[in-house]
Amino acid sequence: MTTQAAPPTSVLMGLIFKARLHVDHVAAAVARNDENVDRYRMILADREAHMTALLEENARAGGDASVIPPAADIAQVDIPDEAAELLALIRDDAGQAQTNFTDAALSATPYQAQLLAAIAACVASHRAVLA
Amino acid sequence: MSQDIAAAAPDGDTLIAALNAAMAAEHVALWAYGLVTAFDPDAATDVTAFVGNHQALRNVVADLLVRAGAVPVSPEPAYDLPFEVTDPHSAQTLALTIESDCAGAWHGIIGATTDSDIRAEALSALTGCSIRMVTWRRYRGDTSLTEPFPGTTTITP
Repeated sequence: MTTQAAPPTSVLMGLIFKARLHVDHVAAAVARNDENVDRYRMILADREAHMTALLEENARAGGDASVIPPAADIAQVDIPDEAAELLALIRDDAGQAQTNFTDAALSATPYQAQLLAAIAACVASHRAVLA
Repeated sequence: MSQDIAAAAPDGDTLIAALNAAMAAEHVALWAYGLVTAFDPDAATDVTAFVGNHQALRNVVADLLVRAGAVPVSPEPAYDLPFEVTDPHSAQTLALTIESDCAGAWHGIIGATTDSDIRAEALSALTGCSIRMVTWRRYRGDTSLTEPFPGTTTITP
């Protein structure tokens, strides 16, 4: 039986859930070690830094950390076998993240807005790296 | 977009200062890109495009300032460089520094206002800087092309 993570309870928590999924994807992509691995490594380092900052901000804001799913077992992460399809998935994740973080930054508190905006700008640069 | 821009910040002076910091950064960018072209002619096509980007950003921030009832800072005749530019590599580093400085200025606006329209303009500008930084890191042959929090770090040559 599979257990499902509790639904996100705030905008920040929603971003954390999505970031966790994307980190899992790109970590699995790095483990695949295909021709794009150097680009995936670069992206993984940034996305892990984002996760750390988001978790710190969640703690600062008094959010419930107990509902946040842990990093997945890389071997169990479902990613495409084909390198081109995997690249498309990681690129799509970056696009989704840019949209989500941009939208959230527009209405967040000033401190959170700066954090979310920097992450949005970073994932936009990932799209450039993956183009 | 809000007509009362100065009122969009808890402290209107903070927003005006942030907008003028971006204005100043854009003036520097437009001046310094002239040097980049001189020392790295192979990058001329990108420089032309990026100068167009920064001209547009300068006009955006000037408009925001005027609508806030503030006076945009004027460009200086010339600027001191943070390091000597003598060859393509140092010109590329200057370009990276320009973009990083502009990113920092636009990032500052996001924290200085609650107006979502101004934030959207600033975030769009920050994103553009972040993408142009990838271009300059590619020119430099950097191993790492991105940074996790653009607008919050300083480039060192």
